[in-house]
Amino acid sequence: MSISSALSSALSGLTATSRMAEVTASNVSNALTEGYARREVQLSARNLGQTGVGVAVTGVTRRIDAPLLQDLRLSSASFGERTLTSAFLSRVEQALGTADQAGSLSARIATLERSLIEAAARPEAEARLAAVVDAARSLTEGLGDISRTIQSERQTADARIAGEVQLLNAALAGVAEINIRIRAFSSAGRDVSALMDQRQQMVDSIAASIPIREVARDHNQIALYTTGGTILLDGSPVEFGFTPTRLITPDLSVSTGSLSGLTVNGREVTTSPAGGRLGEGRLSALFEVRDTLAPAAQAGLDALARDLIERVSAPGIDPTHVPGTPGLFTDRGLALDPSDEVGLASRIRVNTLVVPEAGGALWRLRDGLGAAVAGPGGFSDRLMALSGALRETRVQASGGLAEGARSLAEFASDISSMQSVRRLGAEAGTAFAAARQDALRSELLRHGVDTDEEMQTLLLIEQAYAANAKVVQTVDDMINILLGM
Amino acid sequence: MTMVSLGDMAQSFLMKSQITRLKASSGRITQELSSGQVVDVAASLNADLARFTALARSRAVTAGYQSAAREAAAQAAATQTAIAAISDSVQALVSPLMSASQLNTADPLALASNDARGRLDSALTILNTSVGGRALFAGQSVQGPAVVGSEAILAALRIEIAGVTTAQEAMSRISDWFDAPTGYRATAYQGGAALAEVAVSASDSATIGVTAEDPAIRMMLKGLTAAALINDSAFSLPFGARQDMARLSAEALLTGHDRLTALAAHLGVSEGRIEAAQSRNAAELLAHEMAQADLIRSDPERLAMELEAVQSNLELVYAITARLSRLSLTDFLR
Repeated sequence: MSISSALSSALSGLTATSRMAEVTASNVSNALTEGYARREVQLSARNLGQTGVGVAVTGVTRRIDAPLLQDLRLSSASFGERTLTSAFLSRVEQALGTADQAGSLSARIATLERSLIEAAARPEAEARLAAVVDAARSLTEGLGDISRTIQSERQTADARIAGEVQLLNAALAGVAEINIRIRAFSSAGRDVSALMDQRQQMVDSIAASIPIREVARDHNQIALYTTGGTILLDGSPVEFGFTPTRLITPDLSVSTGSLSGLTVNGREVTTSPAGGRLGEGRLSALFEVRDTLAPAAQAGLDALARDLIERVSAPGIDPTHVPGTPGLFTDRGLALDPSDEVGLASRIRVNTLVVPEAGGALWRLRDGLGAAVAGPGGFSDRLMALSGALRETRVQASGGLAEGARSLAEFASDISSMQSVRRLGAEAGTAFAAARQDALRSELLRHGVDTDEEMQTLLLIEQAYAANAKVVQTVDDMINILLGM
Repeated sequence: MTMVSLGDMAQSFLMKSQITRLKASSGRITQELSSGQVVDVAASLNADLARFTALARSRAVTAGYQSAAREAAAQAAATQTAIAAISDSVQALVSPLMSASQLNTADPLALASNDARGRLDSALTILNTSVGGRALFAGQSVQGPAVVGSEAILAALRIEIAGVTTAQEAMSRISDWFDAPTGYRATAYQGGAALAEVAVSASDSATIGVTAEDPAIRMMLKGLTAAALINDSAFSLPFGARQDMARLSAEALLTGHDRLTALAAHLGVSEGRIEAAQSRNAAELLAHEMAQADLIRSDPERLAMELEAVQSNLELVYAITARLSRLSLTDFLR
């Protein structure tokens, strides 16, 4: 009968408006939640045969701009990568120092040169010779300190990779689990918006490590791929494998197998060049720091150490020195082995023959390492030759710099300059990535909850509820008229 | 998609990131203003640290050269004083000897010879002076004495002139002893090889080392020892020969005096070089210090303008934030 269908229509209207109020309340309460996609109720007219019998809630949709979200995730990955890289480069540059800082590499070299000049003027003065030994030790210790900084950066990167891999595996397993639940719920017709929010947040956390593409599958499920094309999740998640290394020294590297690489389901995955199969994100940046950037910085220092050792051992500087035996600077007490240059900067020492505390004698600086007894105090030839050796320009045996002859100080300055160039380039890239990420994030936030709009909707809901309630009252009156008479 | 709503958080995110950016700017500007130096040296030099490093290095190295130059100047001055003293002493002996060689009495000859003995002693003492812990005339053996005492030299010479018949022969034997490698050099000179050049600036070296082996000093010693031996018991020649000896020793002393003057002039040239190097070093130190500071100096006027712009920007953003926070439909629905 028409009156009962009017009643049922009004009741469906009440249900629908209550549902809308619930969704509006949910939206308003989540106005400050990042990653929350605004809900909207979908209504449609209900039909029974040819007559309309009210309104039906067909579903609650999440308003999310998928391409925008994708872009934001990619830019977050890129930003994470750039930030990590430029932070590392900046720390290495600070370890090297600028020439106006007293502990910088350049300043230590200049102090050594000065002490040699002053000792050559008064070769008999113990204090002057001791100053030379002090300056030499300060230089070798400086090189060792910077090497230690670089290796500890590698250590930190290695440990962070282990942490990231753990989080990634957990997140992928979590997303897979939510996928299953979403499929179960949406097959049963229940509201899956909250689960989809949760899944979006998990995917966001994965996207910060590795740039990913999200692909929709049926029943509201998703599949995840890296931008390099590797499957991360399609049905079942992959498992990342990585073994952290306790202590990292300069000679350990991925290519020799002494450092662990990344495996996906047991298969090895390359992380370079430029991210390799993983794409450019925080994870690939950590690998780059550990395997490319840090070793390159170490190589520059090692080349400097080698140049220093070769300079002071050149023939003609010290006739008492036997070629092939350790010179004034040694590789932990031994002579330089040209094939063993990696990590030389952490092993370079001053020859104990000139260090009094280690059983040596200061006069060997003046008279030669192989001298049996001290000679006349005013003999300055050796010291002048040493001073000249540091000053003269020669072609470096290694270091990867441009062709040309340099003095020791110029070599150190060029290494520092190269490091600064890398750092400034990385910082420019970081600034660009940050700006892009900000713009995309701001755009995405625009699609979030607008409380003004929710308030307006609430006004309409209130009105509609009142109208439907009035209809119910009127129908009730009509029935009472019929029965009450 | 046409927008019918604008998320709440978009605006607040925008304002927040603006404020953070402006605050970071004002922090950097404040630090650069207060220290007078740019914060990021490599960035302001465009990663070209070559000149900056070279300036810092040359300041350190030039300071080392200055200290070397100072010491070299002191040593040269002391050496000059010693040479002048010896030279004057020698000069004073010439005329007594010449007149004694012409007079026929024995007394002036004996007097002059004793005087020569005394002056030989004082000359050898001067040759053994050390200044600042360095023996001036001992070459590289800077601790030890330069020459032995007068008695040792005279004893060796007495052996040399034993059996001579003329003054000429005695003089030539004395001269040979001083010049031969087995004579003065081997037994009387106690020092070592001459000091090498001292680097007093990046481009200059100066020679300041004079040893007691120098030909000028040997010539002077020849004359002094010959004059000292005239009255000696070992020199048993007749009066006429002694007069000849006096004349010959006076001639040797004159030659020695000339050569000492030339030596002093040489040393004077070195001293001039050192002084020029010192003033050049001082000028360089100052210039490099200023150039280095210039490279990394911050520009206070530009920074003040930047600070003002940042400040007014920040105030604007604060005002907008406050205004917009009041604009909400919820407020109007009450």
